[in-house]
Amino acid sequence: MGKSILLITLGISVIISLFILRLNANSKEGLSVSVNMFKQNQARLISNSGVEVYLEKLKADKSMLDKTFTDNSLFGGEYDISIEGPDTLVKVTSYATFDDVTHKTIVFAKADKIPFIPGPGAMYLTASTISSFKKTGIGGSVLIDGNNHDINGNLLGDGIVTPGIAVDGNAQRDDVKDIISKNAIDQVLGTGGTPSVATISNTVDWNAYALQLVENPDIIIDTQTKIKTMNNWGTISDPKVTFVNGDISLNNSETAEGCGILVVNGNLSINGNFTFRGLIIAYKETNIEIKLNGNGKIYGGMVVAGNSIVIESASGNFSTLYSKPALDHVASLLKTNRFQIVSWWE
Amino acid sequence: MNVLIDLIGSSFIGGILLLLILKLNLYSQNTSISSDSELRIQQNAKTLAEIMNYDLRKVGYNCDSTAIVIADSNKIKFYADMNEPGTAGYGTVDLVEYFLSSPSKSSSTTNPKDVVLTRVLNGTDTLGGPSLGLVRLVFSYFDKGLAATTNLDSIKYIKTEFWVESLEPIEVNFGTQTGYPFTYWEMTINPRNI
Repeated sequence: MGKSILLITLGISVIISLFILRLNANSKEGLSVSVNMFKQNQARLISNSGVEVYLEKLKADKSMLDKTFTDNSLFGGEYDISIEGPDTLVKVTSYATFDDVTHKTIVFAKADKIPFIPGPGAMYLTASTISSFKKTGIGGSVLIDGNNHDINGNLLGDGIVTPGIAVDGNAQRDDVKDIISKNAIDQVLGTGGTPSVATISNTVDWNAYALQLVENPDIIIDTQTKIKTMNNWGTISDPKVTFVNGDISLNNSETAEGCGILVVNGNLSINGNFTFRGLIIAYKETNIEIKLNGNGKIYGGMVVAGNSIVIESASGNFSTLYSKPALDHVASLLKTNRFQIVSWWE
Repeated sequence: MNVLIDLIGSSFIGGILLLLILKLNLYSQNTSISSDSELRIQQNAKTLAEIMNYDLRKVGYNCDSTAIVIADSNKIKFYADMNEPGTAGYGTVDLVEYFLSSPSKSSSTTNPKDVVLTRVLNGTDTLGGPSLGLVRLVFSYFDKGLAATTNLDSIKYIKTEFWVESLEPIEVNFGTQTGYPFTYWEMTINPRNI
């Protein structure tokens, strides 16, 4: 009897063991199905994120073109990136591995060129700016010249002449002429005699254009400390969009120069030398203040679309020289940092 | 007499134990079948998800015009270059169509509701495959604000829902009934090229 019970017990144990093993195997297999799906998703996310990460990096560093970057860690996995081609059509290949699952993404993208709108003259003042301009405005040794100059500020004398200061209406024109007369501004040259203040028909929303530019600038200067490391705001061969946001002061040890488009929102005090080729836009609800004790030179144009502007050339010189070559040059080379996705394969 | 009672008693107890073992064996078999079936449903659902995920992420790839041609609740037709850059066929935009066959196409299975997901490439290359227990498939389309849309140009997201059942009936409720267990899968894809 005892042996029989032992046999029966063993038999039941074997059946139960086999049953449990079977269920366990199925459970494991079911789990692996779910886990594999998770791994696939994770690998896909790593691969796609890798593309986005490196397109962002490429914005700031064009030397990354035609290079490969391997073994980047992300989300517990790894991805390799290869970047090929010019930035007009760059191919980014991302190959991600998460555990034993891989995912490949191939993306073509192009550097998105922003529209360039040249200023209508050496300086353009909106009506809202002129109302504040009456009180403080402009003073000192100032040259605003609507005659065409080359990119280095040399007068071309090619017959292209624009207003020294362009405004929106005759009332504003008279106001500005009055300011110039009162403040004994040296020279405002260009169309319409001296001082050259002319009424134009402006169709550009400069605030909207400035906002579009500052959405994705190449350089952002929003603290004084950044000036120490970023005092070159574009070169002739590589113009940039620079956004100065806040109270920034340039002194002799932090001399800045640049080429491209400079958007200013805040107080920009220039006490050293400053040369900029291209277009400067002062915009938004804040006030811009340019205090010059050094030499400020703008070759291209300046648009003031903010609430107010104060240009005081205390002991230095300030010149805004209209330069069609500079504006055309910037227009031909300027790119944003943004890459536009052309196609996405995964 | 005592010996006879012992024999009858032990036979009775032995019989009960034997029946218990048989019942246990049957139960374990049924449970195994049910477990296998559920696993197969899960695997089939994953296979279907992978197939559609692979294709739907390519909607509009290398296509300059409106990528989606038909956007019905149970049928989608779209343009996409299905080939990887640098491989044969790359550069030619394909026309891909997904729809469901009638249940008669999968008559080899016991499940009366299962259908075959059919993928047609360029109008000729038809790929049907086995039914995989698919019983229902619903596509929904959303614009960039995640609002449902039927405007082909506005579609930015494609939501796919499908239900997969077992191919054969299995016993449920401790063998008192038979039925087709099912699983539900949902995925929303944002094809990057539309």
